[in-house]
Amino acid sequence: MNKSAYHDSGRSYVTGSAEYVDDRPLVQGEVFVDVFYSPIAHGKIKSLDVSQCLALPEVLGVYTYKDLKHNLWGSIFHDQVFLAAEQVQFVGEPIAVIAATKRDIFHLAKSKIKLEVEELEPTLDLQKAINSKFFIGPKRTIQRGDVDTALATAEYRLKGDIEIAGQEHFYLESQASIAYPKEDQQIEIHSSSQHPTEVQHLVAEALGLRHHQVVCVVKRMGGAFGGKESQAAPFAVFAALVAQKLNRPARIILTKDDDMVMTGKRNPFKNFYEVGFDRQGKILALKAELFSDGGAYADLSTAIMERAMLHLDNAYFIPNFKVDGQVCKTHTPPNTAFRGFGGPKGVATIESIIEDIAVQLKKDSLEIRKLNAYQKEQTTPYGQKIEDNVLPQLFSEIETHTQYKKWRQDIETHNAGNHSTYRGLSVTAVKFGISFTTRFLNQGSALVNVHMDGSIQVSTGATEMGQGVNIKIAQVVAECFSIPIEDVKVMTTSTEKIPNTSATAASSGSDINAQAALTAAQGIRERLSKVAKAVLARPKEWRGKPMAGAGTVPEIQIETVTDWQSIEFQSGQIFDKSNPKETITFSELVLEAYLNRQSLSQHGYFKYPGIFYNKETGQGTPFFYYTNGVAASEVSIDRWTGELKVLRSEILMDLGRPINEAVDHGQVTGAFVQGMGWVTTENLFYKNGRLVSNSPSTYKIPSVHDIPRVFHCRLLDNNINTRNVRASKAVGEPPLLLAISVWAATKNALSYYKKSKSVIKLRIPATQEQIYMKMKETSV
Amino acid sequence: METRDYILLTINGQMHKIKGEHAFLPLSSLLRYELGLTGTKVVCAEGDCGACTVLFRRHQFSSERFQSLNSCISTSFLMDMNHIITVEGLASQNHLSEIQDSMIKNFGGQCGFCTPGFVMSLTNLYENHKQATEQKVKNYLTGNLCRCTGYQPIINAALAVDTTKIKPLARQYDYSRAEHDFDSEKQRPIKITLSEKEFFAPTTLEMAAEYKSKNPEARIFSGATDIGVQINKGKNPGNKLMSLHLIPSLYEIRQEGDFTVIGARVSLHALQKYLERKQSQFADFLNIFASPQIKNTATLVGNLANGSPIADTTPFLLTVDAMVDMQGSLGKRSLLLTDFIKGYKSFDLKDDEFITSIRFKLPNPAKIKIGLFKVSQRRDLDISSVNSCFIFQTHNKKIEKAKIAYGGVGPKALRLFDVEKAIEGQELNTALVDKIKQMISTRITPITDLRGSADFRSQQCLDLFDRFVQENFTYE
Repeated sequence: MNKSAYHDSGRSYVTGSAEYVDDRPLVQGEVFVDVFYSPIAHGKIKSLDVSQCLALPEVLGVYTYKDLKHNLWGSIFHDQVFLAAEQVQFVGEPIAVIAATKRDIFHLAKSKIKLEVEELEPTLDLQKAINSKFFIGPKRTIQRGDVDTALATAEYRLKGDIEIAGQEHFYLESQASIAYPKEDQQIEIHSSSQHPTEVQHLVAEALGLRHHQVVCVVKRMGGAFGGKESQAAPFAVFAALVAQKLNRPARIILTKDDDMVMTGKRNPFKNFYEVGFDRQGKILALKAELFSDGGAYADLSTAIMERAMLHLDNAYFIPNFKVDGQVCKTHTPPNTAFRGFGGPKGVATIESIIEDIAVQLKKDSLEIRKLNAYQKEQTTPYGQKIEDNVLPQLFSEIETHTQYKKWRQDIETHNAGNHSTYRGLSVTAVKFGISFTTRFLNQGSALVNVHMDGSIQVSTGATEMGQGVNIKIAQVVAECFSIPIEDVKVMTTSTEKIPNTSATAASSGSDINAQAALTAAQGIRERLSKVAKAVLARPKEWRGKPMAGAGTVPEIQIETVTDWQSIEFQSGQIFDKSNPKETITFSELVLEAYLNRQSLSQHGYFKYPGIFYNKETGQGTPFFYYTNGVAASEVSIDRWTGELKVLRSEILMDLGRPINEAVDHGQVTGAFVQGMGWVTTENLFYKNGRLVSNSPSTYKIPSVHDIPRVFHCRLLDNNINTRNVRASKAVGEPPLLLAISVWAATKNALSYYKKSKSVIKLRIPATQEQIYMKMKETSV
Repeated sequence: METRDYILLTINGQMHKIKGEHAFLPLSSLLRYELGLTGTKVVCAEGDCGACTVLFRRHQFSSERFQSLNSCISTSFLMDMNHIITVEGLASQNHLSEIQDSMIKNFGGQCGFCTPGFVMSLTNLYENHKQATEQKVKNYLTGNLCRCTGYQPIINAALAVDTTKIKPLARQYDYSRAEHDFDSEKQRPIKITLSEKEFFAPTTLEMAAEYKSKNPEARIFSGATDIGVQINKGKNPGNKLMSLHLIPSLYEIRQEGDFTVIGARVSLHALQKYLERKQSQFADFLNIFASPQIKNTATLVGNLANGSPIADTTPFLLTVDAMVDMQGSLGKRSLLLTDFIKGYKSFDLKDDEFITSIRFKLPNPAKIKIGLFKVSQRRDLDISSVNSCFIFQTHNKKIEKAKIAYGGVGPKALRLFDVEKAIEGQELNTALVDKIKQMISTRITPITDLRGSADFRSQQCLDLFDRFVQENFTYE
């Protein structure tokens, strides 16, 4: 039932009534907030003169680091300042917070601030940071076997490197927060954040308050994709600072231009590798060094690097394996979580290597992939056994379903003809580990409140950013009581209701929160079952408020009720299996439970069981399970202009038994297209450390015309999986990595163009200019 | 005639008189912050993402259907004499429109922030077409970005709409009273002053020229698809702002002999529709030019008057020897476009003058070969790195006439007259093509910026020429 219930906000979305932070009505005295930020990448602050800005009649205050009780923060290391004090380390680093009575005064207000900086030599390039060993955090290693010997004795070896650029999240709703000062120094903050608990904690710390004085509320986000996991917090702090200083509500809404300049991106990577393989294409050894550009501060980059390393094997068994990972520091905005969280950078590397092996051996890359795919219960280089492995099945199904051999032949025929385009085809895979690699984050809780008319409110720590976590939670709870989905509402997320939450991230939002909600619901259901057992066995006349009010009927003692497991909940009716004709409705039962003094509220808690990972040894079982998928993509490149078209993408994913298949489909197509943007058109262009492609007129995310001309997504029938809530699997991030098939197909098309068939070195993203220049390179 | 100090418009059927400060706000701010219609979202504030899409219909085109525009870059005063419909105005008595209903049922919204804009663009589609193919749906969604869905659910929603149940938006509200009010005020010029700022909308060309001669710095707003962006990015457009929207003649497209004359207020959308009937290749080119929202408000004259060296219509206009018609306080004059454009954003245009129309002879597709090209990072809705237009007329294998123009290759768009001379009278052969490419490469001076490197641009210019001759001619 409720298999594909519509998105719970669907109606609000299409009528424009869905409320985002900046849609909240202004309240009396509310002020607007903006940030004055560093115009240069690296320098020493000599002086800051805000007097002329303060002189503007609309400006109520200008605040600096001196106004904060505590200026250091960071999700992993506390290395970042909210407001720059002595030095600036990236263009866009906040220096001063301006409060004003008008929204449109800030261009002028910012121009009135006089900043004197002594410019220092910036490090703006990842390679430069690698060369000068400008690092953040320790180097990490994962290894298995004897990689050096295996490489030395391998029949074939390939050595190379791959450059992977960053990606802007381009959530449509820019960073936004409103802080309301409340009695007794309390602050209520409404933020567009994936991590209300971190916002609550950081606001409290920055303002010198205790956690219980701050409430963070998140109704919904207009997109996030990881960009609001850690980086929503500073802006919430700025609004809260103004609210505290002026004792007036304070609203900060970044412009898209400023948001893109100030906030971090997907980490750029530069990965060096050497791979050894035999004449069939079996990979014998892989030795790699991954370097990521963390930007100016650590943020989440070390955890992102870990996930990149844990995904370098991807779907392939590599007996001798060694990967080192090191985060580097540059004077650019601190890079951060972005859907896939490091995974895509590991996976792109191995998938690129496999394309190159295929070129070298003059074989079809799918053969190489099938040959190397994890079989049965093989073990990863970090020591996790692959259970319920569906990878071989996925490869074989996509091959059959797409009639791959014929497809390949068609492409070769096309390329042999005289056309203005060349085509390429590739199948890539994903094996995405589900769990935060930091164990303690893998926990969550929920609160289920049943009201006396039988309707239910559920609160969890999950935040809704469009991924449909709320409707999935509602479905799971509605199913537990066998009531219509309309009778369950998932409420606004608030640290007041559910504290100590983890960010809604790592694809784990529904896993953890739906399971916690289910646990709570099951507790209530058990009590209701006991009440039902007793109620159904008593005279009907004993039911109802008048009787209970009169005190003439005995109270049900549920502790004494036995055999309550025979109670069934079916389509809103509750009955004893032994006597299915005698029923009570859910709302009647709920009322009886109340009248017999049974709690209709319950807190539920869940943690992923059985996971551990030692970051120092690089060994353990970090993941609760894997979400797997494969995609086949065909592209064409225009030999005149380098223009890339994605002609067809066929996706096959294992999502267990989806709670809401339509929502999951939307996650797959959405993540895939977002990934396509990363590997094709999305080009971050910097000038002296300042992002100048900082708006959609210059930064090109995929438009409706860019999606694959033929675009199908199928889900594997999986009845083996029992692991997760309702036997579903996490879906948020994994399909993004399948867009690597588009990039691999582009490499394949270029190798057709370049008839010599030597290995093509291609950057991510493969922009039109990059493809065009590659073609020129080869035709010389 | 007495001026008025307000603009008149209806929003979701209701008449509004907008005065003072509010008239200078972007329409999106007026809607969101003054009228509480927060369903209209603002993301980029530069007309690129479509989250702010609303529908409009000009009073004098009351017979026509509603069209879409980007409310974030449309200054409110430009909305005078318009009917506006926002996302809040689509449902009647809580009964969702077919498009809204289909978007819910097909999971067209994920985070929901772009959804109102998509709903408006799809409403625009079905306001103007009874049926739609997947391609048509995509064309109407060119100006809307979504970061969540991968568009597929939205396309599904669009194709699943029960079009037989769709009613024209004109019937959604009773406009008779508003039309009457508009009629009685349309001949009154507008003057709205706000401390040193002034907005002026004359009702005749002479009045406009007089104002321009007294206020040479006055900026003329048309669709505001560029100036609206500049304002949002903090650039001051000056204190004297003028709109010619109350001058009916400027909305005309007319034939004068062989010449097609396009008035300064003719939108690119209206122009495209006109050219489609003439089967001009230029109409196809306009197809990939900008989004519906932009084309419904932007004008050909505005694209030119903006002065950008990468304006997409300029190479075509250069190759067809377009003339620029101007009005000044002393009268009218016309100039060849090549003489009109002097340098980077600089024109042969006097302080008191403004452009009233552009005229050109439409090339006869049967007689010539034409190549119109635009190279950009993303095919649709992107600013070009280079663009070009080639028009060749042949007779007995000889090139009788050649016209070559490039944009994005220097401070201004270029017509390469001397290169053309080297081709005319010749038969095409590989040696000639190589020589021409050599000549082209010495005349262009592209720069490196975020849209492409100088090297990329130079090579593309030569490749575009190569492509044009290889695709249109056979030679050895």
